[in-house]
Amino acid sequence: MVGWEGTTTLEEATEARIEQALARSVTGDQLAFAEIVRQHQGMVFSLAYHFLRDRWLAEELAQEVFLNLHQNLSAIQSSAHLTFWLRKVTAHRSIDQTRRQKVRPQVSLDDVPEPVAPHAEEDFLMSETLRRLVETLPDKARMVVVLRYQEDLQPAEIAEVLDMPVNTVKSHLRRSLAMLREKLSRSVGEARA
Amino acid sequence: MSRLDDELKVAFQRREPSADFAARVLARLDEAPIALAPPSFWQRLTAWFAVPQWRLATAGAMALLLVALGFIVLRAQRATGVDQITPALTAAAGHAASRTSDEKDGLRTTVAPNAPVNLTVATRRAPAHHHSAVVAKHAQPSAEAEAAKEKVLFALQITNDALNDVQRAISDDHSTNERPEPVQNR
Amino acid sequence: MKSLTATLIKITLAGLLLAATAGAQDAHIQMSQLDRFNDMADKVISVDVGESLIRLAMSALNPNRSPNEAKIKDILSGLKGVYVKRFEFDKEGAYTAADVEYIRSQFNGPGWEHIANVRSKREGSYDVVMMYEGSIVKGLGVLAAEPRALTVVNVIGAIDLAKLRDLEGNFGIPKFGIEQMPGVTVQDNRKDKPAQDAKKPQDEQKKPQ
Repeated sequence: MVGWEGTTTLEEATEARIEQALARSVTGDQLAFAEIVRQHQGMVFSLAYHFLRDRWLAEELAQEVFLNLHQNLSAIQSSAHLTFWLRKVTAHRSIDQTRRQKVRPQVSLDDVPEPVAPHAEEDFLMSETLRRLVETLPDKARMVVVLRYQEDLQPAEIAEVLDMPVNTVKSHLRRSLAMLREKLSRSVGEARA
Repeated sequence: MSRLDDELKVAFQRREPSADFAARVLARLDEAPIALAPPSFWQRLTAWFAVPQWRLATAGAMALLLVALGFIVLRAQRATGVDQITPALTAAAGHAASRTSDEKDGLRTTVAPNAPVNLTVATRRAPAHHHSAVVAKHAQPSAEAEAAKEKVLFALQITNDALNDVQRAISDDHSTNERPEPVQNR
Repeated sequence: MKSLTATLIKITLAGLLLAATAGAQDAHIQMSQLDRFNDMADKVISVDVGESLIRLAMSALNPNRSPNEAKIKDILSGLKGVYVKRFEFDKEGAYTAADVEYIRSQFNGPGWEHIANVRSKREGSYDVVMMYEGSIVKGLGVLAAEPRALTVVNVIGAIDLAKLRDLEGNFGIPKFGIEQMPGVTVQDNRKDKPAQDAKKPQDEQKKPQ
């Protein structure tokens, strides 16, 4: 209840819960760690998925990120630091993944996760077009765009996550958006650009 | 924020992984980790020189170059070959080709055997004195071409309608708070 | 030197094989099994447009005549085929899950990427898949399994969906009437049936104009 003394906002309550889960996870509490996973799986998976455009690979990579987190829990200082750490590791691993060009192993249909369902307000054709266009960007520029629009990060925050100068981030954003505008306006006419 | 920014935010909204994602992470935690240290720089360097990979890489690059050159030469030969086909041969080839494609396309009416091929030849040759012929043909498309156009547009109309139905189903479904049933994994 | 030559030959052969099979991912969707509905359905629309017909259609389009024709020609330039089957039934339950699965299993085949899946108790189920080679579209598949209609669309080639959507309302009403179009089968079985419920099926509202 906002405004009442002694109460906390929903965001603060979530943060406090994560901090407690972190503390318990360090001691080996797997249920606490599961809560951390559930709280952040959307972010980690989506970063990987929007970058790699392969659901199977994105799930594999996301799993590895959390396994890596489990090994480094003691280094995480706070809820905010956890979010930053997960974004950073996911971003770098995703970029490394494309560079390694790993061959996708054969999986049975039983293992194929369900397809991504569109959101209600989504013009799925426009969204798909945008995602395909972003996919053609170079690795770093692509990750800049994904971090900007999925996580709503400012250029300075993106620079921190990707270990990149801020001006480089801004340049990537500027050029990527210019390319998107140009390709969209060529594709569907001025009205949609 | 521009419209493009809004569209990008929608396109890159967070998605959830599969329902049992967290459980699978925990299951992997229980597996004994086999931590293999990545090979050091020197290990990778010596491994590179252990087998003649540089030879294989060079040979592979040369092979691909040869294949690419072969395709270019073949394509060039085909392009010059069309201009040299005699009219009689053109008629025969066109008749056979249009008959085959008629069967494939399910056309009920008989297409004039030479019509599509003649258009092709006229377009490819297109020296100055044929220009008026090309313009005349373009200004008056054949009845068959018109019919084909109508058919193609009809097919595209249905395609567009189907896509609109999908979009509508997505919007309607969420607006009535009716969660779409998850796709069952097979 | 001998071993290098042998290696070169092996790699060339491998390269040729790779080139031959690289394009082997086929964007064709088999629909022949659905032909069993031809007699059962109230209305059947079947359209087969192959590449030669598309090229012929393009010859009837003059980009200088109107911007619309220019747009249509642009869309057609990348296409290799458009295949449509639409069945409309007088009651629900005319087709089975197995019929839908026959198409959907192909959508799960190699090379196809799901871009939309909707399952609705009210509306039915919709699947949209696309096949890409890098960033170039090679094919599109749409399956709409509605309570009283089943539609399958298969487009082969580089279709630009944004451009297609931009054309909405500008496809043009066929001069001849749909039934008179060569290569288009429109079978209306209701003419042979006794008069039934006067209420039109919901799906008729979605008929192309």
